[in-house]
Amino acid sequence: MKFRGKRQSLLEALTIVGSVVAPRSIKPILQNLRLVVDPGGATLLATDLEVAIRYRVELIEVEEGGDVLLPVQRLLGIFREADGEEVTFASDDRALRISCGKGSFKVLAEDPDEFPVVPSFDDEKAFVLDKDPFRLLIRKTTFATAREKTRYAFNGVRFEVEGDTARMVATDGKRMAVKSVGIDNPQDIKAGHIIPTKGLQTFDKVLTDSDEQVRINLEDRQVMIRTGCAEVSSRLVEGSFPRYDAVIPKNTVLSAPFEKQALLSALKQAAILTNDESRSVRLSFSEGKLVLTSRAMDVGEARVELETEIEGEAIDVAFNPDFLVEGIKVMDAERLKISVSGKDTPARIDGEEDFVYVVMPVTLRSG
Amino acid sequence: MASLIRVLPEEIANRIAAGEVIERPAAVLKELVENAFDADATHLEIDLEAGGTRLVRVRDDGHGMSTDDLALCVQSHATSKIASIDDLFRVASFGFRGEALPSIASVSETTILSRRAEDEVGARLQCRGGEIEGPVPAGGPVGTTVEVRNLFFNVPARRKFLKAERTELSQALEVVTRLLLPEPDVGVRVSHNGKRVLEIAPDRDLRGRVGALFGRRLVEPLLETEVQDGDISMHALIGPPSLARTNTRQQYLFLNGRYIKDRSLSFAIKDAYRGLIMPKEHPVTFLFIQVNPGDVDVNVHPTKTEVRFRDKDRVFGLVRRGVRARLLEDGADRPLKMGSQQAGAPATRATMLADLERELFSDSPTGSPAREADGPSVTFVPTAVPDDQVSTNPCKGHARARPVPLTEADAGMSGRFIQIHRSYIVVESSEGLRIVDQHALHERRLYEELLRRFESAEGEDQRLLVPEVVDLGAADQALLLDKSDDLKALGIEVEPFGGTSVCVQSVPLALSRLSPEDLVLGLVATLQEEGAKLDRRELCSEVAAGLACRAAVKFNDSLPDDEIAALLAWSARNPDARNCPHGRPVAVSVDLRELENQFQRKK
Ligand SMILES: Nc1ncnc2c1ncn2[C@@H]1O[C@H](COP(=O)(O)OP(=O)(O)OP(=O)(O)O)[C@@H](O)[C@H]1O
Ligand SMILES: [Mg+2]
Repeated sequence: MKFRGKRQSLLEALTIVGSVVAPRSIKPILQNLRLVVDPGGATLLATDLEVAIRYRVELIEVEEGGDVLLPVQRLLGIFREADGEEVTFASDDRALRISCGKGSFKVLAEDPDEFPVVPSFDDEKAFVLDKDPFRLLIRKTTFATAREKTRYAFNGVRFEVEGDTARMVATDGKRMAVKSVGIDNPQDIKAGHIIPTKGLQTFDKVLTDSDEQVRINLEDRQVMIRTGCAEVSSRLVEGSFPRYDAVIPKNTVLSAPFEKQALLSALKQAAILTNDESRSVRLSFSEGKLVLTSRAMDVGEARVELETEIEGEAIDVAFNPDFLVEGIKVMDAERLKISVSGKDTPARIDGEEDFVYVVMPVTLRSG
Repeated sequence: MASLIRVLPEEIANRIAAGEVIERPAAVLKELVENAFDADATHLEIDLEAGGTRLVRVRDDGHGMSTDDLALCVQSHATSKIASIDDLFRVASFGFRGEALPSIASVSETTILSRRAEDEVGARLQCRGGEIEGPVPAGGPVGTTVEVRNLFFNVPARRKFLKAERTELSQALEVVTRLLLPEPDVGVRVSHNGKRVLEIAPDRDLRGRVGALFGRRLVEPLLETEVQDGDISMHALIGPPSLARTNTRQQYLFLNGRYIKDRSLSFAIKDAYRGLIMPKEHPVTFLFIQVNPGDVDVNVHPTKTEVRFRDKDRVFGLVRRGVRARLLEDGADRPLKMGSQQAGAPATRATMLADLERELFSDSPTGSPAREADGPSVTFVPTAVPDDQVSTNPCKGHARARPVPLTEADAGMSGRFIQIHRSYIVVESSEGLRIVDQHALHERRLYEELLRRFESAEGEDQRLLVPEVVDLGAADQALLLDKSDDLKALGIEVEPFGGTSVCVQSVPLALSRLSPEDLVLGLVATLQEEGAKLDRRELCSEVAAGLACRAAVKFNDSLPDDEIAALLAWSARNPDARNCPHGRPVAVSVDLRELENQFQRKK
């Protein structure tokens, strides 16, 4: 193996591919990436057995192709720290000599035979989506998945395709984000799958390239996407997922409009005086205003007032402020509306078109 | 054909029955000392030979016996202490069966010498294997001397079961300990094979008595408390959690001055230390409970260490509350033990006995007695200081320069801490430094938070948008649903859900780090362990402990500074929160003086 490439483009590729590699893998071999060089360029492959990626990089010149396993973290370190625009790779017995700017490194390479097979994209069954709407789906929902491991499929996002709509739904059991986009669906594909959070995050990373479209292939057990330079596959999450339309409240008792930025800032102020153990902010809606209050035993109290024109009855309802802030932040809208259905039933926030965010309140028990 | 069935002569019946109670010299000693107490003795002279197998002699200064009584006292069921069966339930004396002396006399060579104050001369009675001789007039001081020689001389089978001399002796000394602890105004002298082994003057108080029997070092750190609930009262000396042991040998429980064993009270003690010591550790406790003699039945077992209370729950409650309250009043970290200077473990009874035995039996194994481990031990290795940093006086030996202790205000508020290894937080304190276990402290805080909410029935609950359904199986489902009212008070709303599942509707906000499923499984585990017998309070303590552990930050979690500061501030406000609910210490501290020792700045 012998070739020359641009340090910057190799670094970008490595950063994306490296994000798939699990930092502490039970299988040490998975801490490596596979580098395959052919006359047309280089392919970087990595997997943690849940998500797999092949990433194509153009090279300046290939003298001789090859196939090796290299430790991701060390390579990343080299490409980050070294200077110079060009990098030269050359096999040297069982090692690889990398020269970059003033540095020269000899990295032991491993045998690629042991490396798991990274699936390649099957164009036959694929359908095409515009890249930007697909990205929107991911970005407006993934944050709402559960961080802790759960029994349900809450560590993933449900992806539905039906008619001319594609939709993603994410929930951690306490709040839910639902985003839909219109699509062309000439093949009339109908699908409903749960994609793990990490898969989606990796999708999001490779959707940066200049291609306008992304090809998607949904199979029984995995989903794959292909962009101009990358193919990413992700295992699907098994398990049941709640029906989003059953969760979104239909009958609300109050709704109130807000400036997005003003509401965000008020929530953040009130959240300052909460703590981990009592993370709640009380929203008191009354004629012409919303008063946000918080109180934490060992911290203090906050009170923030906002003007608004409420529609419906005055009500007090408490929420985890993080849930509200996270949902509101992703909304692409100047103004939004909070609708409350009761003290212990879900509230919804609308603003951006085709996006609904639902949050369950915190109730205050008192003896 | 001759009849095979015969009525056993009384003498043989006694010999058989004697085995039940009189198994070894220690049992003889116990009966004799109890009789002396019943006779209002204030001083005892005890002489033992060959661990008591050759001789047990108890001389008392009690009220003695008349010649007539002396003749009767070795007769079966002859007792001066009970006249009717009604009295049996009101016994305030040690003896009540009138069996001890006949039993002992039937298996030994017993001599009793007694004189009352009002009699000019006393009398002597001799008895060899039940054959009575006397009484004959005899001179002697006021009081009674009972001498039991050659125990089991006529029962070879029993003699075989006697243990080595030092085992018998240590059992006899244990008997003395149990009998004398609750009687601080009685003095005793014990000798063995002619050598004095114990001499205890009448003590002023309980602390003095425990000290006399167990050594000053054990008694000093003990916490004293007296509590009362109507006609039930408790006087106790209890060890701080740091004094906990790996066995229960240092737990003494007395009821109306009588040594007893009681599983339920042991549990009350364990419960009182819950969260303060490790589950496998046992605290040092000396508990003296008084109840109305009519409210307790001591006739459950012939050896009388088991009792039956009329109002068990009240006694239980008093013990648990009293001990717990006293423990929580006290507050200090465990000291960090430095490598070279093992903070001397308090002398234990085991080590005292070991010392004693070494002195008595030259053949006994020597070497330092095994000390019981208490608390974490950390080796402190002094680091070399580069020369250029120490060129000025502070190292020249007579270093006076000492760090100025911080004032309270500096200590908590200086904000000087660092997180090390994403696991511990090192904090400057007024006495030196504290090393805080982040998981243990956070766990304790969550635990208190959950308990507080339970007690005040207040709290914030995160309702679930998607109620979590967990299939538990029939048994666990029933276990959980049985407690659903109690759990609701904790903010955990569970409902039955088709088949063997339950459905979680809300979780306490403080536990929202935990997935509802983990929470339910944690609950079930707690319930399985402790069973359904827990009352609401105990249940909540258990549940809070179990869940707090699951929800607390773990080791290797890096913590932002403001969270650390909040944890430390909480700790400062709750100085009694010294252990996590499972008993691991929350913090250890290093005293400045100890640092000075280590750096050899102080002699
Ligand atoms: N040291 C003593 N001083 C005065 N009286 C004694 C002494 N020892 C025994 N007695 C008398 O002898 C009686 C018999 O003693 P013994 O120990 O056999 O029975 P008890 O103490 O009444 O009951 P128990 O069998 O439960 O010990 C006692 O009731 C008591 O009157
Ligand atoms: Mg007696």
